[in-house]
Amino acid sequence: MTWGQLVSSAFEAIRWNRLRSLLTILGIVIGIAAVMLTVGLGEGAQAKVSAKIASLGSNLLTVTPGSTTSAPGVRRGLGSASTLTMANAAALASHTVAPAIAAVAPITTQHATLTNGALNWPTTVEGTTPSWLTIRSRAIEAGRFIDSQDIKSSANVVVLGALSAQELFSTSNPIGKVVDVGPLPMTVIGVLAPIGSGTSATSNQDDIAIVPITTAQGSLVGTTATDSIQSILLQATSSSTLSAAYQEANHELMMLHGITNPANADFTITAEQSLFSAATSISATLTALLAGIATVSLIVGGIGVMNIMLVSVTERTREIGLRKALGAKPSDIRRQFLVEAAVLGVTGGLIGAALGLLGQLVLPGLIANPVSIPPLVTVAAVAVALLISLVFGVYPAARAAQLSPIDALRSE
Amino acid sequence: MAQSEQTHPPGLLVLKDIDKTYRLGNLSVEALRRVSFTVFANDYVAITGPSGSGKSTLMHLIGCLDTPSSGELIIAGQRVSDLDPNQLAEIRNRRIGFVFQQFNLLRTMTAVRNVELPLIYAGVPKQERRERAITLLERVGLGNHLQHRPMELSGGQQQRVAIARALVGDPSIILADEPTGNLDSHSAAEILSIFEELNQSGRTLVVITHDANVAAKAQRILTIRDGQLQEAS
Repeated sequence: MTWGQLVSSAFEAIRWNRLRSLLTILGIVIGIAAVMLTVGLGEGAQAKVSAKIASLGSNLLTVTPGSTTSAPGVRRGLGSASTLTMANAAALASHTVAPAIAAVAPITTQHATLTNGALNWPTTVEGTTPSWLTIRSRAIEAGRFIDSQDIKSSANVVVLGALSAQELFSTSNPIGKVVDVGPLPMTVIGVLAPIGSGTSATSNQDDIAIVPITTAQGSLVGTTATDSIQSILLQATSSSTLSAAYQEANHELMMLHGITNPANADFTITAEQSLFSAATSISATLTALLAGIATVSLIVGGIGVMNIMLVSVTERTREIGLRKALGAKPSDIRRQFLVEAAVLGVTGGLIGAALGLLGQLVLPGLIANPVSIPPLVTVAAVAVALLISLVFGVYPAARAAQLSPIDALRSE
Repeated sequence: MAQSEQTHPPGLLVLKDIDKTYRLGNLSVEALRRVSFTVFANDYVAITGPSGSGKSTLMHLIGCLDTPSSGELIIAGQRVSDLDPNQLAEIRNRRIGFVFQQFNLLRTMTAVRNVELPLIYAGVPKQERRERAITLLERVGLGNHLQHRPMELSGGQQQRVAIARALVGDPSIILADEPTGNLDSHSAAEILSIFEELNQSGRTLVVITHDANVAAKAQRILTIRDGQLQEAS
């Protein structure tokens, strides 16, 4: 008997018992759809987190003063020797010292009120260098960003975040206008493109004002240690060199700060990605749990197929006897029932995959979570359905093949 | 299989000292004892006997559905008494055409597909299968019922489909087990006249029956009693 004949006669047998066949494959349908949606939800969550990380700037490390220890509490480095300085930032920017670090942006942060005539708006003022724009993966919407000339001359210029610009200037063009940053009048030279408030883990990234770091240190900060900075942003050359960049920065800063015992470090380097690692691992746990449930439902589906195949073998004992009398070998009978199980499994798998893909379209609208099912998963799901039905079809098929033709023909 | 090369076999179906013993726990039941007979080509043989006499057992052995406990069974020159299940399946497919009391048609299939079934296991290509099945259905007078399913046919028609199926593989022996047992007298007469025609056209028939009227149509009648053969021609 050829495979084509086997498959077409399997379809015939399945069509003959349409309702029962449908109920049989229901377990597989649900299992496959559940597995696909679980994977899709996991992938979707992963993509969402990746997008979040990318919005903060990719391959980003942040150096902050002070350090956390395993014991409760925070150790703060005090005094000029242990504070992050412009010299530290300059040292890390050297490609010979830290080849894995692509760009460095020293940052000072303070809160100030911006005033444009009668309108005022309290916001975060960051003093930094031109590389901030690329490290943070930000873009300019209008005008220009601060440049090295502004740094050199401590120019009184400011770049506004989209929200700050809107609050101060409404719809009119702010470029070239003067706003008071705290007590200092500064010329607006550019506006940042908005990235949306929902994408930040901590604060609204559009509610910001950027000034040259030299301006911030010289005029805005009221401390004597004008060289000190609040943090240093580092960008690794790629995601694979992120840990190398971490090591280089750590080593160099320990040396510069004269620290030999890593436990005494007066600074902390954090990867922005690590902010999300907890969230990611929670979603991974959830995904594993859901996948476990889905797998159980697939196995139950497989047992359903076995159950119905066993019933079918019993019901069709006479047919098996007849086929044997007409010349079917045990292997012919075994193949016939295996192919029937396989056809059931693939049909269930295809229906389940279709439901899964439908869910991919419908679910995001209902649960506000992205669902993205990789095409390979769809193919794998159908293959798994086939595999399960074959595994659970082996026993009933073997039983059918071993029936004695006499007993089989005699059965009523 | 040295026997299959033996020079011109004396008979189409040869039974020599066939014993068949069933074991039921500690009890062993002798269903057949030293049964020997020969069926020649173009014979029409009836095997009769009361129920429990061993005629079903004999039918299973001749049909290669079972193997004897001892003795020799030769079909068309080939010794079949000690073949394995796969070889027996092949013999059934090529040498035996079964006709059953219950017709045993597959209810999901049309008449023509039912008749094709033995050819599927013989590996005959589709086109040839279809042609041979149609030819035989026409021969048993069902040329207009090719696409009917068993439920749409009368008992007599179903048995004629079964006869077409028995003939389609061009077997050495047509083996019928109470072929008229489930039929009214009119249909039964129809079936018996088909058997007669087949015998006249050169077919070899072995009919197992307890019905004396059916047996009477045969050229030879073998009677089984308590597992032993009593031939009366």
